[in-house]
Amino acid sequence: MASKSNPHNNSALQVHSLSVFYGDKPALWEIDFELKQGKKIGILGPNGSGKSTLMKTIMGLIKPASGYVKILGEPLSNVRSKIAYVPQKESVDWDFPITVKEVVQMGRYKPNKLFGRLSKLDKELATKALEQLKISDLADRHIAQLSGGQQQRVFLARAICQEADIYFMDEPFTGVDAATEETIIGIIDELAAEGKTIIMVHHDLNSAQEYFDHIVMLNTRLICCGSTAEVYNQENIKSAFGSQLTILSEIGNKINELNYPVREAGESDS
Amino acid sequence: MRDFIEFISLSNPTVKIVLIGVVLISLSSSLVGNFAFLRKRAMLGDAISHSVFPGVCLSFIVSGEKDPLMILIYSIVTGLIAMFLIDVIGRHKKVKVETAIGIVLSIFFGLGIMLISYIQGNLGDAQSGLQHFFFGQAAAMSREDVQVFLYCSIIIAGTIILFYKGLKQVSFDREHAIATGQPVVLLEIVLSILTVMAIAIGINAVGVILMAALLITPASTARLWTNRLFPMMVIAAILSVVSAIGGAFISYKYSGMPTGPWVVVLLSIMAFGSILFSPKRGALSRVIARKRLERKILKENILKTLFKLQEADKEQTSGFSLQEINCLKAFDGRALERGLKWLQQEKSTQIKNNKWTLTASGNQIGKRITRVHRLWELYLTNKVKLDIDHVHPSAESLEHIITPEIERMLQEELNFPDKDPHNKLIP
Repeated sequence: MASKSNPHNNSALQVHSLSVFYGDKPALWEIDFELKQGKKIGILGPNGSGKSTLMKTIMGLIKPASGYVKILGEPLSNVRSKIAYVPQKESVDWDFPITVKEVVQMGRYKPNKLFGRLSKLDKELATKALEQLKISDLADRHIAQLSGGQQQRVFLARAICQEADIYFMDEPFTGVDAATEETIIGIIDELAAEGKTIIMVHHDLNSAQEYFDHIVMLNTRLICCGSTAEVYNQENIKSAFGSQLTILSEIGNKINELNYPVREAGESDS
Repeated sequence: MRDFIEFISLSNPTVKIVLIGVVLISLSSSLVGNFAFLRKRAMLGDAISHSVFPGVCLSFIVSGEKDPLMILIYSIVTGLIAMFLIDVIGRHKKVKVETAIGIVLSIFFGLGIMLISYIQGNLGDAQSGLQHFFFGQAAAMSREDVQVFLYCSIIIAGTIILFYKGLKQVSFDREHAIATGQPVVLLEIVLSILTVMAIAIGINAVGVILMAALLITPASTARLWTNRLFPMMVIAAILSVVSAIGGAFISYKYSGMPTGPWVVVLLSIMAFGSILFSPKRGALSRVIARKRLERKILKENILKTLFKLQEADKEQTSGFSLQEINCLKAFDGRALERGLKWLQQEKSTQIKNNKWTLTASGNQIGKRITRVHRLWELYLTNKVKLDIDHVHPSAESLEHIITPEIERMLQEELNFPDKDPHNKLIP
C-alpha cells in the first residue's frame, strides 16, 4: 500500500490517515489508500461501514477529524472541475419544481460562470447525456413523475455532461430496475474505455467481481485495497462483512462526545 | 368600480404612497419566499421577522427618531444575528433546527418588547409609531419609507436575477453544488441578507406577526399551479401584487380596514382556492378524476357483461334485457340504465325491442376487458401462486386499469395462453 510519499503521476485518489467521527454512526478510522487512474473501482462494505461517509469526505461535504485527501495529486479545490459526483438519489427532494432537462443541465453550471447563461455547447452536451442514458423522451417531464431507475439516470446524465476525469458515484444501483442497471454498466464501461476513472460505492458483493477491476473493502477501518483478482477472496470478505469492530466504534463515539483530538497537538499529518 | 379606477389611477397622493409601498413589499417578500419555501425554511421567516423587531427599537434608541434607513440597517443586523444563532444552535447534535428557531424567536422578540417598554417609559411620546411594527400600519408609510422600499426591492430582484442559476442549484441539490465547486456559502449568505432585507421592509406593512405569510404563502400557492421554478416565481409575484393592490383598495374603500392584514387575508383566500381548484393537485380535480374513473368502470363492466352473455349464448342474437344483464352481474338498477344510455350515445351498444346488443366497437372493448380479466387471473394463479378462489376479486377491479402495455407483458410472461384458470377461453 502506498505510504505518504510523493504523488504518483497517474494517481487518481490518495486518502491519507483519514479519520471521521460522524454523529452516532460508525466512524472512519485511519483510512489510507491510493487508487490509479483509468480504473473501475468499487468501494465495498456492509451497511454502516462508512462507505458513503468516505465518499462525502472525499467530496469535501464532511470535515475529517484528521488526515487528508488528494485527487489527481492535488487538493480537492484545485481539481473540482475534473471530478463529477453522483450522490445517492435520496439526497434531494424529487418534488422540487424542475424538469429532467434542467437537472441535467446543472452538470454544466460552472463556478467561474456563476452569472452567465448556458452556452450552446453546454446545452448540446446535456442533450447528448440525456441520449446516452436513454431518457431523451423524458427531458421535459417534471422530476416527480420519474421511477427510481429514471431518477438515477437523471443524476448520471448530470454527471456525464460535466465531462470529468474522475466520477464518484454513491450507490447508483440502489433501487433501480434491471434495464437501468444495464444502461449504467454500459456507460461506465464506455467511460473506462475513454480512460476515465470511476469510483463507486457499491453494496452487492455478488456483482462486484464482475463490475470492478479494483476493489476497496471497508468496515470502519480499511480491510483491503487492490485489484479484484488480488483482494476479492473469502478472507477479506469475511473480515469486511463478518463482524464490526465494536471497540473501534465505541471509542469513536467517545472521541466524538468529548470532542477529543485523535492526534496529540503538534503532530501534523500533511 | 368608479372607486377602484379612482384608486388605481393614483390620483390621491397618500393612496399612491401606500399602494406603491405595499406592492413593493409584497413583491420583495414573495421573491425571496420562493427560496425559503423550496429550501424548507418556512418557519425561519417567522423567527427572523420577530428578530428584526429589537433592531427597530434599537435604531430608535440610538438615533432618537424614526429614520427609515436607520431602522432598516438595525433590523438587518439583528435579523442576521438571529439567523446566525439559529444556524449555530441548530448545528448542535442534541438540538433540532426547529428548536433553535423557537429559542431564538422568543429571545429576540422578548428583547424587542423589553426595549419598547424602555422607550415608552423613558423617551416619552416620540415613540408613537413603534407599535405599528407589531401589526403593521401601511397607512403610516411616508415618502421616505417608500423610497427605502424601492431601493431594497431593486436590490432583491436584481440579485435574484443575477444569482438565479446558483440559487436554483443550491436549493435543489446543495451537496452537488458544493461538489461542483459552486460558492455555496456565498450564495447562502446572499440569500440570508435578501431574506432579512425583505422581512425588514415587510414588517412596515403587515407587522412581525403576519410577516411569515407574506413570505411563504405566495410561493406555496404558486407551487400548486406549476412544476417549474421560473413560472412558479412569476405566479407568486402576480399573486402577491394582486393581493397587495386588493388589500390597499379595501383599506381605502372601507374605513377601519387595515391594509396589511387584508393583504394576508387575500393571499390566504387564494391559497385555499388553489388547494381546492388547482389542476392535478387540487381537491376538486381529484374528485372529478374519481368520478370519471367510476364512470369508466361502470361502462366497461356493462360492456364486459354483455360480451360474456353473448359468449355464453351464441344463438341468441336479438339482445338481452335489463333483467338478463343484471342476472349475470348485479348493477345498481339506475346505474345500469344510465350506463347503457351513455354507451348508446357513444355507439357502443344499441337497443331493439327493449333488448340490448353490442355494436362492433362495444364488442371490442368488452372483449378486451374480459381478456385482461382472465389474463390477470391466470397470472395470479400461475405466477403469484394464489389459490384459484382468491383471484376473481382482484381481477374484477384491476381489469379497468391494466394498460395495453401491461396486457402485452402479461401475455409474454404467460406465453400467450388461451385458457384462464377457470378453463374459460381467453378471447
